[in-house]
Amino acid sequence: MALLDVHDLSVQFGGLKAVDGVSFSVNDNEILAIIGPNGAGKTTIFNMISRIYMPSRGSITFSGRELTSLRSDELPRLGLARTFQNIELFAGTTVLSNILLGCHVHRRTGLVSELLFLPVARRQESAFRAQVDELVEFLDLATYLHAEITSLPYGVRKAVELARALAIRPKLLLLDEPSSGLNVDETRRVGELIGRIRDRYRTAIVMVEHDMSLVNRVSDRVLALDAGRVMAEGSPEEIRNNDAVKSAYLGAADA
Amino acid sequence: MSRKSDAAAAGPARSGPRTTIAGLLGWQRWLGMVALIALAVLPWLHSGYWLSQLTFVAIYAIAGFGLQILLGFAGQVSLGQAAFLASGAYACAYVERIGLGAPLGFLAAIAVATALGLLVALPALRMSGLYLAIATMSFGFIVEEVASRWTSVTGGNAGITVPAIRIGGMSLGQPWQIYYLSWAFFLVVFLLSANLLRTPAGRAMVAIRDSEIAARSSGIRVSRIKGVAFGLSAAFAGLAGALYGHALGFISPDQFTIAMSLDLLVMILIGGLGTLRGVIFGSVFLVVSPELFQQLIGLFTAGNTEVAGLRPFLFGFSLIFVLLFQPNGIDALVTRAGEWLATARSR
Repeated sequence: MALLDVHDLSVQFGGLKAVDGVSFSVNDNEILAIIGPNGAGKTTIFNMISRIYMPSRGSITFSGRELTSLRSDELPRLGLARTFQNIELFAGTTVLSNILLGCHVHRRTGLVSELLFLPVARRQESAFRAQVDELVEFLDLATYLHAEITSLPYGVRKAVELARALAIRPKLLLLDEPSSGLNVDETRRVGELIGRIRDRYRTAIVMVEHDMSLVNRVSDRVLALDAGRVMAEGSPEEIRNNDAVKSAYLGAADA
Repeated sequence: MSRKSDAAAAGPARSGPRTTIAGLLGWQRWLGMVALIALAVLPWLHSGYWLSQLTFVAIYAIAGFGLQILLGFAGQVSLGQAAFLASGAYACAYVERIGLGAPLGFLAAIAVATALGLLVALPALRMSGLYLAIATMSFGFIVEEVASRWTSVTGGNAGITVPAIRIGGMSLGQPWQIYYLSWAFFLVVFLLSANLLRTPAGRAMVAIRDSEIAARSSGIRVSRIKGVAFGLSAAFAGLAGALYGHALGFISPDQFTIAMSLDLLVMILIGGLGTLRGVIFGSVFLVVSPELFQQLIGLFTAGNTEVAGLRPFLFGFSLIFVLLFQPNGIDALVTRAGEWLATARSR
């Protein structure tokens, strides 16, 4: 059975069918890219999977559990993590605290043992800290560990958000435009990074992405959307040569 | 394993201004030790006015830690903290007056205030910002009203005397005894708050303050964490209320008005929002500055004339000054001065 199974997913905002009958699935360790012109419904699908929007129809099954009946804060515990298109970090604090927040799902202590900083809380903190150190090394963030988020450049913030999501130790990672706001060189490095994340942390990845060179390089499969519907699905090569996709992208210029 | 890897990870980040940070840490510890020793020996040197004023510095700071957790960490405003102090003060006085003793009285103070805090949290989960401010303020008015009408417990507007603390056969009624008790509780509450900040629940509070959506997607149950913040905040305020009653020996509804809630708010804003040290600076400011200004004015007017409206003027003016020029409060000023001293010394 697939890790993530999206079936007949639809949502309507007023009269607009933002997503209309979309179905796809993601297997363990697979990298799926969702592409499509602006307004095709890519981020909306992400927001439905992560329980920010309520779908008007359809089902989302993750590890055999129906997600539409869960709250968004219950998903990380199941092994589902995400990043945001415009970066959602805890801006008033440091890189370290942000990544430690990702460890929150592994919390085993109660309020009392934390307030008293009992040995169990102490051990947990050093275990969390070891996990953060590992991530920080992997993502080259060590120099920024104690820096405030507001003092950091955009690219570093994206890496911090990624580190926080990885601290959840997800089985599935949703990346909303990992290359947005990055230059060509940084985008190339993000491409390498996504492959390394999959290999190192054994996680499936679904990413919304505009940069076609990045999509072609890292994804196993591509889902092309247009106006809320699935236009095509296949390997990057098949999608590149798909006539409907070509015309949608060319047509998007005058839309 | 952690200690070594901590040092290794911290290494590159701190390698630049290492001397500064090391110097600053040393400087903070030094100041803290001096302050603690001074507080410990003070009752031997002085037993009058300033001893009772310093007792109130500790009491306001305890309530201030509570508000700091709620507002500074979790980002939830409250204009009704006085109600939690009131419920703590009355619960403690009541339990002691019916002869159940001070330990149970203090427990009752904390329990009643915490219960009220959780009660307030229920509607507060659906509100934020201005609406939350108005709701908590209304809650403050309700408790004030209850305190003035529930005569059998509170003595109504006439107030009630608070018996001296008795533990076993020992009486703790002397000002210096209340002083030590208050500072002991201050230390406990400070340590609890510091532990909160470095463990998951406290980090989760800061997270929901900064971005609720990111907090949720990191697996934080926002409503539960807000409830914990309200509960802890009220518990500390209830404890402060119990001490407050004993320090004054008398409580009545007109002590626990919106003015007290505002004092607490101004206190943490001037001291520094979001830091524990800021609470201490704010509390010192709240208690000491009106007195200092009064004496300063006395120097020029050659007399002890009480200047009417000095307190609100001073606090209002300071608040505007802080918001305009020093948004992070006295704490940021002191930190900067400490850094400057440390670098100057290391040069």
